[in-house]
Amino acid sequence: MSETKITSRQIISLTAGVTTGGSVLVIGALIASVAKQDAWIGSLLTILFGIPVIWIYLFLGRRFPRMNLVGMSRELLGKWFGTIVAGSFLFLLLQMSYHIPWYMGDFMTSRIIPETPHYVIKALYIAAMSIAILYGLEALARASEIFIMIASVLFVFVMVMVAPNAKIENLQPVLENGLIPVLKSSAILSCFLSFMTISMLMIYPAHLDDSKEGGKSFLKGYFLGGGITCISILMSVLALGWAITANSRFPVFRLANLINVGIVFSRIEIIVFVIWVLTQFILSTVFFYGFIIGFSQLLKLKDHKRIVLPLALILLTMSEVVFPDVAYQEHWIVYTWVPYIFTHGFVLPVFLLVVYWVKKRVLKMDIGDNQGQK
Amino acid sequence: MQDIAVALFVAVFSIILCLIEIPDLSKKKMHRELGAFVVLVGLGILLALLKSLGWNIPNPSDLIAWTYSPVEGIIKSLLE
Amino acid sequence: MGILRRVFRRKNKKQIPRTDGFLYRDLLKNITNIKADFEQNDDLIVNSFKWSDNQDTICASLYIKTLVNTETINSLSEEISILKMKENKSRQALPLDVLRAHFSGVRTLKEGDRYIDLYADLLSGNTVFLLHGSSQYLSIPTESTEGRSVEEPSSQTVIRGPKEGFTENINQNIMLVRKRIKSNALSLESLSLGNLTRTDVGLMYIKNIAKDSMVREIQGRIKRIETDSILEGAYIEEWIKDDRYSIFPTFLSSEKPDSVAAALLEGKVAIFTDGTPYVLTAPALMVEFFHSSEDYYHHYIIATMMRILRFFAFFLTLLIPSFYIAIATFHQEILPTPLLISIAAQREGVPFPTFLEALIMENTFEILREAGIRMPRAIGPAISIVGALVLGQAAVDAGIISNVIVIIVSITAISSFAIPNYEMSNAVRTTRFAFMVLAGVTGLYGVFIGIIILTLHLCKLKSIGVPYLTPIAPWIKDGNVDTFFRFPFWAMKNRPFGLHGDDKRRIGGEYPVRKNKKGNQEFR
Repeated sequence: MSETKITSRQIISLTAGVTTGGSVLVIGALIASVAKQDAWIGSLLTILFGIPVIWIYLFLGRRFPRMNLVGMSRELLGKWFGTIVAGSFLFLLLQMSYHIPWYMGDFMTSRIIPETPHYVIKALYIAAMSIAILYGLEALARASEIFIMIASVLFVFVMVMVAPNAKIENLQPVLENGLIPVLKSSAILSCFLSFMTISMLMIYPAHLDDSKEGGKSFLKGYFLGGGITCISILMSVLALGWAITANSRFPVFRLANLINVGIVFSRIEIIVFVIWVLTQFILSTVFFYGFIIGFSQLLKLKDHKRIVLPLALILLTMSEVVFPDVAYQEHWIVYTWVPYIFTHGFVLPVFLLVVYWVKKRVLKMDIGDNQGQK
Repeated sequence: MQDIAVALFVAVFSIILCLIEIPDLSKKKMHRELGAFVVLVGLGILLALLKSLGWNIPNPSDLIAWTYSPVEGIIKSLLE
Repeated sequence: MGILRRVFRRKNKKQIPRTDGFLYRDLLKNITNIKADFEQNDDLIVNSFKWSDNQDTICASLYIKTLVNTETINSLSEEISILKMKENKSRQALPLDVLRAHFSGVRTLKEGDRYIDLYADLLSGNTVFLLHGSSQYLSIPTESTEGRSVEEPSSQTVIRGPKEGFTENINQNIMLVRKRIKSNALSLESLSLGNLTRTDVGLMYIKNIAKDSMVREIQGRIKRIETDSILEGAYIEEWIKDDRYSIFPTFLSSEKPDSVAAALLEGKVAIFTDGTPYVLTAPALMVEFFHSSEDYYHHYIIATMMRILRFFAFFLTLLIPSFYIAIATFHQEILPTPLLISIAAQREGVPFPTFLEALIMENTFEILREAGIRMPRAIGPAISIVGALVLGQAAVDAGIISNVIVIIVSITAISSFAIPNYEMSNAVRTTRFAFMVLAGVTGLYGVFIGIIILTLHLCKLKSIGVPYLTPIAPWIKDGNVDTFFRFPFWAMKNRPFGLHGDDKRRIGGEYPVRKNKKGNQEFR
């Protein structure tokens, strides 16, 4: 279907970026408030629970090795219903691609440069996103390799620096309230970790030569991203204690504040910020790319790059409108985003899977484009 | 103030964009792209203008929040 | 309009046939035609002479006085007079056959029957022989090879390693490379480019080591160039670049034959252009612009250290001014308090905001650098006095700028000169102004966004279809033996991935030093 091909190594970095970007900085607080000192168990379980979800994605991807999710849903659900489902999914992608600039503006103006107008911050960010898409998926994928490399090195560095502040008492008592809160927390975390990778289905089978090898990379990337999130939550709880973690908006940022080794390393938050921006950037660009590809597919456009800049203008305004204030955002992200991504990241692929099986096994229809498989 | 500046920026940027893209698109006979482009640019200008005039732009987040309001109870129980 | 166009077309048509046509049998007619075509050229010499005293066969030799080597011409005329004497005795064969028979063993002989080829030969310094009654011509190379002799390169100096540099003469440049790779697999394809300049361009590669598709690609691109002039290799580079808007060089220009030979051995293609002492090699990857041929002549640990220093210098050049602006304007809290206080104390009384101050000083440096290159050599010391004393010392003393910014600018300046490739250094120095603006508007955030955009840009670039950042992104397993690090030669087993053709392996056999079990009996 597509001439642009990326390597399976780049799938690792893209998936890791998508998995980490949505969760590393913000989500620790929510998880800690639910699971208390057992938040880290919750995040470990999340990675485990994510595996079958990823398996569903990979299964779908392997059955349709030359299609993205929009193509799959149209193929499986018929033209009209499929288009509606795909449209709903694309709307989610679009939503996400202007949420992230909002986060960026919010974070920057509240933490780092309060005097700069947030429009400028958002405009720069959206400009970078649009440039990434205008440069094409290959450039983005290659850049993501570098970003993930830098982010992982910096992450290890920060975690090592934080390690002396860790107190094992902060984790005790283990499983004080039983397993239920832990499971609850991992259900919530899944919505920011595992289900986010649904956006990779806009890239994963269609732009790869070898979808089997790519599937392994998908999992590897998921483990890498999940691991980073899991360790960051663990370290937050270890060093800060669950109460402080739960009460701060950006726990990892708070965590980095603890570091004070000599003069040189007294202000390490900036490194956390770099990690966050890099992974966040991959996340938002993958979502935006997915939207543009899917949208131009629905409209049967030949050149998807033509609509990038007009959409960037819309993103700029919408990123201002989307959340009026922080309280609204915090409420929305818990009460709306969780079921929202659950429907699209879990219910939708399961539904597609069921339809596939029914059509294949029960109705014995010839479905899936297997001629593309090697 | 900021909103007005942004609206101006959006307007100027879209005009430049139109001047570059529309002749090229119509020369290459990419009518679908042209249509999508014009509609999206128009939407972009409209949104920025409405925002700068202080009108309430219908927020998609509200729409989704309304759609998922029935399950709020389940989420609440998750958070307990 | 239509009439005008028709008039012009007719005019064009009138001129073309003669240069495009074939030679006549009539010598006089040929000579009149040639003379008419070279109407304003007083340095065209036409000598007509009788072949033998008895026969009425007339010959003519033509050459352009300013292009030929006088000694060669003298010896040629001597040879011809000897031939004529011999011929006067025997009187058998046709003069053309005699000439051909005589010269074909000794000199490179060319024959042709078209005006256009004749002119090309004439203009490249050959002597052309025409004969009455024959529509063929013979040409013998007599061009003067005067020019610079091989000197030490001026832009890529080394401490250890060969000190020969390319010159303006393409043949000499090719000779310098051929001397280093004595293999029949070393192939050379000659082209001539530019409708007016007819510049000789040589495409050199090693068969099997260079990827065939890559060679074809470069060849195709060069052949498709349609321009009137090629005066330097940079013309070619600009024509056949993958991304024509990018500021970053995607062809490596080198002044040193040893680095070109090394590139050829990695499977690259070298483009020689007549009239320039720089040879382009492609595909060129980003990391190679930070390599120096000297890296391979020093111990690998030292070479690695120097490379890492150069990459560090790259980041310093790019980011130091913008980091300073960002931190001094937006994020003072990042700095440790004592440093912050000392900077603040120095900035006291400086009338400009940091951004403007940095911009002024960075521009001053650029002007100094530019002036240093363009000015006559004798004024050199004056510039350094003005630069160091007036702009540095006096401006700080007068309180117009702060000390810190002078330090920052000096770091930038020195680091930019640590980048071995001048084009890359230029690109980086230009990009840094964009970073300074970003830093002035949004602080470190802007710098990070700038870095993201720059990374995307570098990832997007390609050099003859090979991604610019190749062994890093896309990451190539075992591909990083010669990028940031310089592995020892016995560890560089293969040629760089993706560039080479069939011949992949670089080394064979084992490490030549064997452990002697007995040991040396004498030293114990």
